[in-house]
Amino acid sequence: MLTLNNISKSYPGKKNAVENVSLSIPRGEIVGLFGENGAGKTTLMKCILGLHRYQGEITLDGQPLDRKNIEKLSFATSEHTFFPALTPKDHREFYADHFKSFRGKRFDALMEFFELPMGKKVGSFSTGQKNQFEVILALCQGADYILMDEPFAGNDVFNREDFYKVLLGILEPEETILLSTHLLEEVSAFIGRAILLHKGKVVADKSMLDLEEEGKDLMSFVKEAYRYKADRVLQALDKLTEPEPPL
Amino acid sequence: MKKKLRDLVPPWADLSAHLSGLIVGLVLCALASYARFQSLLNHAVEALYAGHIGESPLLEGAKMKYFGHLICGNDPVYSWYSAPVFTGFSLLFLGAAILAAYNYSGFRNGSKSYYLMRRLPDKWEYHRRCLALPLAATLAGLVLIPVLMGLFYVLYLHTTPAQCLQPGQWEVFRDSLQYLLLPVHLRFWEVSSISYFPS
Repeated sequence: MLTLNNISKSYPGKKNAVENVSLSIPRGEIVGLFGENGAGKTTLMKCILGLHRYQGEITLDGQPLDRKNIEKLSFATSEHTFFPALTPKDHREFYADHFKSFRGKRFDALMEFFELPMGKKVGSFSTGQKNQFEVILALCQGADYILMDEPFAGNDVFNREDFYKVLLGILEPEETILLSTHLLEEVSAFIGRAILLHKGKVVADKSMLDLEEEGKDLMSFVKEAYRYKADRVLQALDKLTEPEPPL
Repeated sequence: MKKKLRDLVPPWADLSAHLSGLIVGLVLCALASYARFQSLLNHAVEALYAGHIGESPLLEGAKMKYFGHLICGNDPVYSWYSAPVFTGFSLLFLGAAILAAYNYSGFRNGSKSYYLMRRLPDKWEYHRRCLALPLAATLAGLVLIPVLMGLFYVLYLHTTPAQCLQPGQWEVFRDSLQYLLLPVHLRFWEVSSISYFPS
């Protein structure tokens, strides 16, 4: 269980990028983390990973996150964390050296499935291939909690669909995914829970089963949580298309 | 062993090129220091003779410069960087600092691989890979300076005619070494009374 207790984070010039966030994410869940740009999704993930200092407490299976259990977390981001000057083969060796639970077999299978060249420098890959490789590394590190921050930005729709299918097919029961993305409709079919952030705060947290029982889909749930005004666009268009008053 | 050494440089770096660079840098610094010292020593010894060395007699009452004066021109030794004999090492230390900065920047170039480095189970791996070789170069330089100074001192004693040597050489050498390694500006308690060479 990944537990966040009153997590707050401020930047100079941006007070409360994350404000009093408390969450519990049990093993085996696939959780979607949603929110507008600047809502605090990335900041929250970086707090969990120890890349940012924060106030509050984060524990993993009851233990504070430190060097002893940090390898239970992996991270895939559209900013990328691989070494561009190394080949996938070099990365395989690096990960196997540093992460005891590295899943070499899974790595080889995913590399083959996505037809990524093992001997080519990752820096020379296309954006889509880089994203695929980034996610492959996160999935193969051997972590129990896999954090993904907009991992498919720049991938085409077929590519993303392939990935969702593979993800669902390979994940083991104890593996947990925390996925931040704007692609609500695409991920709604395979996430089990949706957490919504707004201005650094959790504004909604619901399981997909509950939503289903309530007869709502993810998009309407998100719109409702954000108090999205559907007629906002029409009103704006009306104003914009009004004839200019005579001078 | 090679793998352990490879963990001392960034993952993409060529270990042998780094080590070769380090060794070549140290050798060049040592050679430059030797060449400079030899030139200063030759001039100082020549000044003791009326004409050419070996052909002319020693000047009457001629005294050889103190070793400390010799290695840093006519000024007292303030630090390794103010001693002309060792200025090559300034470049070595500067190069080491640049290499460290370059290593760190490499983890931000083309991706943010420092995120990965910062969440490795070994807390120090990131800094070790960036700093190990620059620090090794700096340390090797700091060790090499007194070693060279010792060798130069032996050369100085061997080359200088015995009757031209001034008394108190050892004290001056010891002081030179001390001030070479701990520059005078760091000795704030002594700044007001700098006089460690007999005039």
